[in-house]
Amino acid sequence: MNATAEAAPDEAPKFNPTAYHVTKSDQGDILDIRNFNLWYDDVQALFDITMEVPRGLVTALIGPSGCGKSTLLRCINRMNDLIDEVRVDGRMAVDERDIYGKGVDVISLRKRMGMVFQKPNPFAMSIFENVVYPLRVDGVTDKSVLEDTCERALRGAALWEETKDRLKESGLSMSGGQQQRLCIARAIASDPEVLLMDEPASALDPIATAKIEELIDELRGQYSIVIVTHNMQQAARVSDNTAFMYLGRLIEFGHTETLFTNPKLKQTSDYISGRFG
Amino acid sequence: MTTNEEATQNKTDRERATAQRRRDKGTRKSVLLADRAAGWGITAGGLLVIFAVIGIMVFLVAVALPLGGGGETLEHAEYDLPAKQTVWLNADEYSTLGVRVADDGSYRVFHLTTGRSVSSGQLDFGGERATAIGGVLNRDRVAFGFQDGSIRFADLIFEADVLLQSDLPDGAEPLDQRDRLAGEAIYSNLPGEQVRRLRFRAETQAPVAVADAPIVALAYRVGGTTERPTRSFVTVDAEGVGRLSRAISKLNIMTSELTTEVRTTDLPPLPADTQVTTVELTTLADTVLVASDAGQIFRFDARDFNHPTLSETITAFDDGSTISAMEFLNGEQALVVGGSNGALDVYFKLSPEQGAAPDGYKLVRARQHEPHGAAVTAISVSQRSKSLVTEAANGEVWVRHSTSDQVLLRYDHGGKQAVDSELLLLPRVDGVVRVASTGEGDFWAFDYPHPETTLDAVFGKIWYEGYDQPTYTWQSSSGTDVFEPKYSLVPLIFGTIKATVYSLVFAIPIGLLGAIYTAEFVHRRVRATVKPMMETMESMPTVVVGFIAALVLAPIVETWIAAVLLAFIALPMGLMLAAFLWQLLPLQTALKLDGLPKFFFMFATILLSLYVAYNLGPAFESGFFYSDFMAWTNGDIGTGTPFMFLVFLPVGFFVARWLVHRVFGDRLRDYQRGLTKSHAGALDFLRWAGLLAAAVVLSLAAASALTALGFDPRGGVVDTYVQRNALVVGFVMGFAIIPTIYSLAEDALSSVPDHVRSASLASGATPWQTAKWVIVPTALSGIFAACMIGMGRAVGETMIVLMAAGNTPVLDWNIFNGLRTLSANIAVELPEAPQGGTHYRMLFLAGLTLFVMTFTINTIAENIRLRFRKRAFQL
Repeated sequence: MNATAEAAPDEAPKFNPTAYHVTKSDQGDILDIRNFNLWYDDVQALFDITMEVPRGLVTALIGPSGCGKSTLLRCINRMNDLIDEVRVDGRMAVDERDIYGKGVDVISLRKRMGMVFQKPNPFAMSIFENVVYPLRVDGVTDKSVLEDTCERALRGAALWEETKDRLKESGLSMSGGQQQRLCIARAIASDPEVLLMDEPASALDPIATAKIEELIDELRGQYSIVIVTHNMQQAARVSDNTAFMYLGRLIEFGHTETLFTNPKLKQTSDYISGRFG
Repeated sequence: MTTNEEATQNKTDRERATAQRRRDKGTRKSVLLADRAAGWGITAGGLLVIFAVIGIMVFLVAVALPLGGGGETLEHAEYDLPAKQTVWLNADEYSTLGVRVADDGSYRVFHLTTGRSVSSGQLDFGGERATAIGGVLNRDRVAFGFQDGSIRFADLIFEADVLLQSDLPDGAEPLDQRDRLAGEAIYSNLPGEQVRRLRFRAETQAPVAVADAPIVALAYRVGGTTERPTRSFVTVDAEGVGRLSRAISKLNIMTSELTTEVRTTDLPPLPADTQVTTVELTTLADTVLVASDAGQIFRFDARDFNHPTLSETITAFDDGSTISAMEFLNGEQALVVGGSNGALDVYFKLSPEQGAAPDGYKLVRARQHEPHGAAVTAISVSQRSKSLVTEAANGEVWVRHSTSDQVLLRYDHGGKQAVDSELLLLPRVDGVVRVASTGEGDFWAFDYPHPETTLDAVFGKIWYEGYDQPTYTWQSSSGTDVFEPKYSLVPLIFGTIKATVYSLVFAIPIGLLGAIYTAEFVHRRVRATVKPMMETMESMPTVVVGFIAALVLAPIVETWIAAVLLAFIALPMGLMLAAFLWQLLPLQTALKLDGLPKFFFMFATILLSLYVAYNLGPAFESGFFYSDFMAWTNGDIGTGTPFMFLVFLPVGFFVARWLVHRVFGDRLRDYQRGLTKSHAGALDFLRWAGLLAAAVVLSLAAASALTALGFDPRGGVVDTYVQRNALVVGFVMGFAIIPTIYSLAEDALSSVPDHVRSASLASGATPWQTAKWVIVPTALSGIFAACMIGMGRAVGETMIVLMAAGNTPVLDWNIFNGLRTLSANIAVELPEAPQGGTHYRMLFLAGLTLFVMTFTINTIAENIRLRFRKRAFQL
């Protein structure tokens, strides 16, 4: 990292989110994050994040490694609870309901969110069972419901044609790209309000990546998607809005095209043009 | 050159060197060397481990192998003695000298291996010829019967004393490498410049008139003490009259005069025309057996000396063959009967529940040994073991072992017909002497170290002396020579399996649930404390655990058995009840109390359940087990219904749950979804209570039905209560292997990649659902390995079972009875087993069996584990 970046946290200009042009959805916002802070033990990892994620659109989080974009994503479905010594303050709400409020049932919160991880992580079960796992967890045993859901989710993940004849086979017998799409199918099987994707294509080859991106494009409109990516081209290709994070702070958030072509801040343009990160 | 220039120069040198190194991409020699050395070292270490294991195995096999190794004939000598009707043979303890007594009373002492005559003499027969002869098992006290109805007693004694080499008389003639002949004595070389002198001495006593007719059969036994022997004998005369006599010698203390009083009683008459061939008598003189040439055996009960009765008459052979030879085996528990058809059968005097003679006993044909090709003409039994030697009319001389039912060695005597010969198995069972009336003498020296053990005897059923039927029995040693060693490994293998099964039933659920709990539910910090504690528990010396089990736990369990059994019900019930009560809490409260308070609540629940079990124990005992659990297990009181009810309870619960699910399907759950947490919890609680009630009804119905059908669990897995029992072993050995299972299973569970756990949790699964559906199936190979290693430890565990299991080698699944495992057996008996003996080698065979068992378990486990692992491999 160069000197500019090191000096950045202190000198980073405060910005007013409203000053940026965020592509708004006609359905309003799904996520509302206000003055959100997070500490791992004594180390603060997120500083005063404020952003609104529009419903039904794809929002990309970009930034260099360790900038807190994955942490922010995992805060949305409280996966950070699994890590000890995490402390948060500020407000984060999904669909007007507070995520970190008192008495929030984490389990039911997570049921409303689908999540796709960096590494494909299907279970050691059949393809069918992998897809309908969220329903099983919810206690659904009706076979026809499960089968319908499975087909819908697999079609949604553009995997149906490849797998309809081998639903009984192990989810682990598929290729990496297929496994990741299987995970997407699992994530959308419970018809979540938000789909969280944590660098879904980073472990895949270019062809599989292209398919995942295509799929995200197809899912646009049906789900509100928040995607963390390392790959700026990917963010540019798939997202409607892009948030640039740096050292735990949200630096710039706006319409993707605007952000990439005409960033407001120097840090953003430095990152985008590849000077650091 | 200035300093500056030098520096520059140095710098360029350094740069050049660096550049050189960079160009030179080769690895340094020392690195290569270290790499190679490490490779060799590790290979050598690994090979050494493999060799060590193979070495142990080879050693065990090498020690155990002679058990099935058979034996060999060391020597065969033939010689000629004077042709006379031989009636008795005896030999000394050291297999050096033999004595042949002829019917005219003349005897000849000869060197066994060479046939060289050592001395000869004459017993005082008053010029008569003996018509019958009987002798004790040691063959040194003999009774002769005569034509005139009288009998004479004789002692044939070998005297041995140890002298110094210098005492050896001059001109002693060497006979073989060991023995020298001088005068009428044999001098045998002993280690340490010593010699053993062996001489023969014979004494005849005055005749005692017994019958009026010639005596045709005679049996003689000496009981009582050495100072005051009780000599008993049975005679049968030519008129078919049997007489039982007893001679009691009394020493007058004042005059030192020995007076002998002979009392005689007549046996009940035999059927007319019975030709008696042989008669046998026990040392206690309570049983007389008379064999006739019609193949019948008459058994007389002589417990009342003055009024002997004929208890039983049996026909020895189904094909009507006559009895041509009959002899008691050492111990007088088994009667060997040889037939004119060559058959050789063994009869036991048993007291069966049905079909017994009026005196309560019955002669039962227990063994049928391999028959000879012709009539059995002579039988000679060992004085110390269950070996015997038989001769047949066709010249076959077979050395046999009765318990293991095998012919050890076969001699055919060159195909020559046997002519009225006498047979003798040497006292140390290391040779056979046979002297025919023609004077032909044969001597076979052999070595058969382990005649008791065959594959059948070790792993199969054997009908032992005094048993009602063939059994698997381990009973390796006792105080006397007449004991029949019983070397069946089956009860020990069974005991090992029983201890393992009961301890695993206890340890696997607790170990695995504990592992799941710490891996998936508790805070990392708690886990970091609990796990090392459990591992410390593992390092507890098992002898301490066993000691506590035997001296503290076993008496407590015995005293509070009802409470202990009740705890098995109270604990799960209490925990389930507590879980449902927890569900009733409002969500806010539940979340607030989720950490430490919840933990303490669980702990308190366990304590409370145990307290309840402790207090309700007596009530439970009176309600379910008719107020006396011990009597109930004996089967003295009550029916099996209460016990079966308790066993069926969990089954009933699951059946009820299944039925409810069949009827209502998901409707109940869908309805629950609309309720608040507390209400849903209350509904759950009601559902649970209802299911429990249904389970009680179902299991009561099933238990009553089974009782009505006549089924009673007592006599199976529950039976008579013994203090040191499998339940205690299950507890304590379970306690010892829980840490093993826990620790390994916990490792397997926590090594499931976090991204799999995250995927499940992110799908909205609860930690329990995640554990149940994702983590456990993924970690299954490791969990399975944990159970198997726990099992391996249970199989090999020694001290706990040694101290707490009662060490009774019985074949019995009864959870309230003891057991003996292979390992405990080795620990108990190895100190008392003489090195190289059958018992010693049997213990090594037990060790080998244990080795094979654990080896097999581990191999199977490893294969299954690998198969499981393939499923989770790509994670």
